[in-house]
Amino acid sequence: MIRAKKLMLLPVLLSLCSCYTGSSDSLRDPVSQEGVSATVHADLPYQSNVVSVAASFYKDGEKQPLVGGDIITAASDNDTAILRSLENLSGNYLAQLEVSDSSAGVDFTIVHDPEAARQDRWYPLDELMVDPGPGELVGYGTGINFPEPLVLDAPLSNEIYTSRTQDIILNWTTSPSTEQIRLTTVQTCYSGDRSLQWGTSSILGTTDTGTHTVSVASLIPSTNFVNAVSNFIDQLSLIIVSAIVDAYSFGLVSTKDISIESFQLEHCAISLTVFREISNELGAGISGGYAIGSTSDTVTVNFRP
Amino acid sequence: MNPVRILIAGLLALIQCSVYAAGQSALQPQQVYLHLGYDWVDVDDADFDGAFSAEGGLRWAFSDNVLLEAGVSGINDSETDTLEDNTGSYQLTLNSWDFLLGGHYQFDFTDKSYGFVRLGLLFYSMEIELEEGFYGLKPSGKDSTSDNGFGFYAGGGCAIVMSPNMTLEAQVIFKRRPDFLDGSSRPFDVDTTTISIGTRYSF
Repeated sequence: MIRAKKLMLLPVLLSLCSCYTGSSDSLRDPVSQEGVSATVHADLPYQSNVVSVAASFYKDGEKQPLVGGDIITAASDNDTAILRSLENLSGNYLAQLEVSDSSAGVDFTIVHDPEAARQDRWYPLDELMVDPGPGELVGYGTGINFPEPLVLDAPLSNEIYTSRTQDIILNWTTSPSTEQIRLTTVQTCYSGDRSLQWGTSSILGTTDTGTHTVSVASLIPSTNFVNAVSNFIDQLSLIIVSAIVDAYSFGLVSTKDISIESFQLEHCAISLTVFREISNELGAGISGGYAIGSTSDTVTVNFRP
Repeated sequence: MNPVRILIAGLLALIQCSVYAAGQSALQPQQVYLHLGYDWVDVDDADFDGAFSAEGGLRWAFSDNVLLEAGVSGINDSETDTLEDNTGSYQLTLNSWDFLLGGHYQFDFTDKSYGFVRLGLLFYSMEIELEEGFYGLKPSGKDSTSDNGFGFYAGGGCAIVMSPNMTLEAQVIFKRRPDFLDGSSRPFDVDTTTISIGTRYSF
């Protein structure tokens, strides 16, 4: 049903872009210019047993697409998934997998499995296969643990805001395990049969205050472009939000800038996701990057000017 | 028993039978035919392009309207598009020899034209080739495998008599080759629908 709804949006102009704002990231170390690096994120939404995972691996500072049977697998206590790239050669890999005991965490490993890598192909892989052998990243991996669950108490779902001058007040339960709080938003605005979607991601800080206020105007500007940031898909905490993953899946993403003034919006859905993030040690041999475990909660409110 | 032996035995039996029957038929006792056509290849979950093909064979009159026939046709270099995924790019190519054995029933439209239907068994010997590339990051290569088996064909068409010995024919024929690579993890059927034109020479 969800897929059908998305397909109905195909004729609609949908542009997806992001703005990266907020204070500096204390958990995400830069990718090393020498050796192997990894940027890995696993998020467990509140009241869900499905973990969203995203990962990229680098060699000498260059993101490495995995081809020819090399894949990234993610394993929880009761599920294993192959991470797939929504765009071939992008080097950004995503998956979802079930977890029953989140304290067991998720392990990421690069393996060479020629049949698993091609499992979506229609022909018999046991009869037809060109196996070029494992790449040099095979064997690298890292593990991720999750912080305590984050639960949003406010705002209420589907709350309506009518003016850009209004503030949205977010409240959530605090936890001493917090190392960083991040707010990611996805705005989808409609005008007749057109729609426009973009996202923002900002770090709220390393202190878990349990509250944050964001103005409607900062999320839905009345002037200027909503900018397509060139490194959009590098923001793993943004693409890990399912709404954006879906948009990528259906090829609805456009990176061109769109002038918000030219869009006579009728109403908007604002999806707000607060992440509680912790860092994890990188696996053996990995010299740069990060491994973030997070818990999150999402609420969607409406803007009807 | 080896399928090839079965086919050869069937053909020999058919020839003996038809030689006997030909003496009692108003049709010319033997015919040779050759068709050139275009195949549409259909494989579930795959999109092979069409290809030109040929079919030739012999027919023996069994009665005024019924002929027995044996022929050879095939699939000639039918390819998929080159598809891409995270792993790399890949393209598959099908080639097949088909040996046909069946019946041919014809019915007059006028003195100079008639229609016909065909139905029979086929024995296929098919090869599929895979060509894979890995975006230049790893060495590309090829692999292939083959299999044989039995299927069937059915078709029909019309013909115009050009001379006592020469007839022009046009036909549509469907061929099914079931369970190709049936020993593999994902066997599949290969169907073709062919439109062809050709000549029949009676002697």
